[in-house]
Amino acid sequence: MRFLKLAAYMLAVIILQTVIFPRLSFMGAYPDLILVSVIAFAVLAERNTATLFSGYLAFLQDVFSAGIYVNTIFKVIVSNVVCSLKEEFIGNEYSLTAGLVAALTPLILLTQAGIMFFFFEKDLSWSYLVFSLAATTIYNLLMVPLLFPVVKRMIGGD
Amino acid sequence: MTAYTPFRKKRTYTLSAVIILLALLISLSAYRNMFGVRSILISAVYPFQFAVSSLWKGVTGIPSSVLNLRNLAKENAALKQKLNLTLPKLALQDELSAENERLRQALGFKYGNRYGFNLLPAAVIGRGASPWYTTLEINRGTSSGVKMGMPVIVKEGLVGRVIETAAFSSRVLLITDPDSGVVGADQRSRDYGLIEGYLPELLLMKHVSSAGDIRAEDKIVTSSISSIFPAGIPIGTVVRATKKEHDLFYQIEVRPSVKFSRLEEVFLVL
Repeated sequence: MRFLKLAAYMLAVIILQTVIFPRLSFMGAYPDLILVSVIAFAVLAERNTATLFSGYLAFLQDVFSAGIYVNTIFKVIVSNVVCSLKEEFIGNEYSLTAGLVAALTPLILLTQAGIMFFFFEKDLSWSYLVFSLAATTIYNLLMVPLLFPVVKRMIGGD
Repeated sequence: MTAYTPFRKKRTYTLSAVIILLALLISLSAYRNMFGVRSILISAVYPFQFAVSSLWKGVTGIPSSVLNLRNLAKENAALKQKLNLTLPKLALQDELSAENERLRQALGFKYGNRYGFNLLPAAVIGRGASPWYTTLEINRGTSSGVKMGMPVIVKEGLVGRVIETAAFSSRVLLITDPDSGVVGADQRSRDYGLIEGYLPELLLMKHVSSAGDIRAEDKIVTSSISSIFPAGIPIGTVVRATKKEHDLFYQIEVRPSVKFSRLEEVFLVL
């Protein structure tokens, strides 16, 4: 049952990410539902399950994109970092998720941009990158109240 | 919070390392399609994407359809009038095209029938899931005869080319992606250069000799040098063309003629 729930959630997230949100984008920027889901899952679930979930979901994100499997690598690392941080954290899980989304979204985008620029020689507009960091972070924070309860219910229903 | 034993942690780190290593290996290898696994996954999700995309278009189209009802009769009459004016022009164009073809053959042009390509309409069902690649997903795949590298256009101009195909859908790399490269030519001066994407929606025209003549507002079209794209398809308009005294090349920014964020239907050049 849990497997089915997870599969349905992944399918819904991928469809929202590829079909709906690009149509609601603001100057090319739109939320990364996969990142928000990975962080929420890592905060709420057991470490091993969170790693597997992040691996599967980010792999799907890469399948529905082009080029290298950069999201798979990054999101598995994010899942591990979040799992380590939550052990030291005393407080509300929702606040931790929101805080980590706010902190990790720009950090990940900046690191990925660096990789694209230095290793894959992609021409990037730096002013657009700054805008994109800010817009995506705001979008991702707006997604936390929507996704967190869904992920919590899914994990709580074991 | 759950307490984790060192053994559990070690197991997770090993699992993470395996996933990262696999992702790296696949990324750097020639087997990014993973022996068809990608195509299978894309085909499996396609019906859901298509259904949601159609539903979205239907729902978002309702308000404008209702508002436009009053104007429909007027628009219909205007379109009929336009069609009556266009049909004779088209017939004349067909004549000119056939004559041009005959003359090209008479002159011994190797590539006759330059514009004799067929178009396959396709609907945009989705976009790339990663912000680093600007791609579109369309509802035509190998079952409709789509092949890798096929150019994709709309009436305003060039959209991109097919970079991945599945049975019922394909992925199109937009010309605004930094990985995309198109040989473009200035319609006025015929100087040509390499058009590359510059996110979010701008193009750079590179390697145009500073001895050339490129000006702002010049139209850029696909060049006959290109082996992928048919010649003469509009790409965009020059926004800025600068050259310093000792520069070998121009620095040119081009605004694409296509509004990529609003694309709903495209045509594949067969």
